[in-house]
Amino acid sequence: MSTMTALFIILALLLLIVGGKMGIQAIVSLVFNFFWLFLTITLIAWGFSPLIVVTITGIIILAMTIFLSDDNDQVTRVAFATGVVIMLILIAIIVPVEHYASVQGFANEDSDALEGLSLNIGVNFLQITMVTTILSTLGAIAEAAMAVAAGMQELISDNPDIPTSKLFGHGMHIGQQIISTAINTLFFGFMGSFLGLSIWFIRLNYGFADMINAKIFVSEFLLLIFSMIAVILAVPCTAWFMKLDLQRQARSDVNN
Amino acid sequence: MFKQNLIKYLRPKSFRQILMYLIIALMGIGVFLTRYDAPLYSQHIVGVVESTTQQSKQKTTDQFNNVDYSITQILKIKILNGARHGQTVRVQNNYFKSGGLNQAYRPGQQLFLNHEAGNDISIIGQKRDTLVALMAWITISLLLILMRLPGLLTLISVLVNVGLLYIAIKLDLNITNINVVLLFSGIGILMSFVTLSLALGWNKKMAITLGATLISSVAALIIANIVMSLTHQRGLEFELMDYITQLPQPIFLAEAFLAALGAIMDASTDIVATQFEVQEAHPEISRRKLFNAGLGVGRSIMGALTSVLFLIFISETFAMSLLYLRNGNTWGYTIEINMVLGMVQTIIAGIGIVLAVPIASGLAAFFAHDKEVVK
Repeated sequence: MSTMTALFIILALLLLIVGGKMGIQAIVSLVFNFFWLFLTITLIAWGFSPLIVVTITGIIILAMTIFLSDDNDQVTRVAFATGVVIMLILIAIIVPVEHYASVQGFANEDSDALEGLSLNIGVNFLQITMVTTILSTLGAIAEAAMAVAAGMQELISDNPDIPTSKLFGHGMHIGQQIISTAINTLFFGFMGSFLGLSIWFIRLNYGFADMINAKIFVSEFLLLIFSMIAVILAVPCTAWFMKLDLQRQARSDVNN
Repeated sequence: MFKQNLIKYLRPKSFRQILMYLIIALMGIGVFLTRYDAPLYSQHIVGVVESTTQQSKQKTTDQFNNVDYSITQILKIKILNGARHGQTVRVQNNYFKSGGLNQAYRPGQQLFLNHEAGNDISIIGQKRDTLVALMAWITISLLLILMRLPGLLTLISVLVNVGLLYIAIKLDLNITNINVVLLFSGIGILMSFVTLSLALGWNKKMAITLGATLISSVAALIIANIVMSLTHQRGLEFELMDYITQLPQPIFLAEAFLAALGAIMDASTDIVATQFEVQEAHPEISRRKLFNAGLGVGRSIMGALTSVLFLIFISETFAMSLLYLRNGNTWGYTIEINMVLGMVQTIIAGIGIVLAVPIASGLAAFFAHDKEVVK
């Protein structure tokens, strides 16, 4: 048995024992997310427009991650709406920034890995960088939006008479409670995935000036920065959508 | 409306907040000034592209029938620093339209140039410091303006942790035969301590969260080690890892450990915080019910947290996987070469996250439970 299969079986069993039905949903969501990611690459390799493909698969990945993590309709509904809006805002920021950054494709540091490969493949690498950035932030957006939505939902079910005018402020307050762990999840996640590169930079004595201008450093830095921006923006957006959703609910209650 | 809510939230209410807006504005000016920092670069020549003309464009086809264009442009560059400050030079730039390794330049961009005696001027690369400073400034501003004090504390913890990482890497490079996994897991534990201290303060809640984080992350690392040796690391080709300058397997484990820590802290914090709230609201609650309350929170976040790491690890391999597919490789081979290592790291981290759910719930149920109230 390969190491990956063995470890995956352990993870699946643990999810099942700890989570029961939620555990099965988590497994399904992981497996499908891999499928959607791979489909994204395949479709782009076949020549479909990268940004259109990622907008569609991004929405699907958000939906799978959010609707399979929680059973509360209101929380998942609000989190999903937030996720889609934040993703679209992010695309609007990523496109010009990556255009100016020009950190697409590969750098000289990658030359070992590129040996024997044809690089002139006629795919717009700038758009591929945008796709990578968008995909790597989706999980963080979903997680932050759900945390804020769930927190607000709980607050409201405990204190049903909170005036709607105060809801946004409460949402922001919940955001302040989760922001540290949400940002640190990203920071540690990226730190783990950049560890090899960080050692490389320090071993080869890149100075500060060399580093902050290096293509490869800037490309990784932007991945981290965009995911942090996405998480921060998700807080007011979730607070606002939750408020709208409650107002709508209150109106339909009155009408009935 | 949204705008009114936001304006009400953002309006400065104290002297401290006015000071914060002032500091943010000053940092903004600093970002703008990096456009004019060329004299600070003594090692390289900095130039700004004044105009570009396309000299030639040739269609290329590789052995996999990928069509691309090889383009040559002539750049007119004005030098901004050093002995030749103010001079204008012409430099040739070759690139492919897809932009895999080299890029087109546009007027207004600043570049680093190289001029060694006897050679033509060549381009080293684009100057990106303004963009880096701008994006860092935007993120810091959003964090401070929208998240206030917790935002500031988060920022401090990130900066301290970057410092700790730097120290760890220096130790790794300078001490021969150091145990890399132990070094980075030790530093990771120190980082968790710093992060949780700043997020939660020093109290019982923080101690329980830290304890749960350490036990689950170390347990995941031990499980990974056992499984890797039992399966003889079948299917794991460590030599394929990127940017490797030392024995790759310990780095692989250290990466998984560090990546897992943040998510495990996230899960543990949520679980323990909820249990403390439940305990406060219902002081007579039994340990068993308190434990179950923790499990309930953990169950709903463990999948999403694993997805966060999965998307980070797999998205990174995107450009390379695409290159493999367009170079006529099969799906299986592309996955094997580019994605398997990242997937295994995600799975190791996922095991840590799932373990954190019962461990954090159990620890909190045991230690947070107020014994005196129980009759």
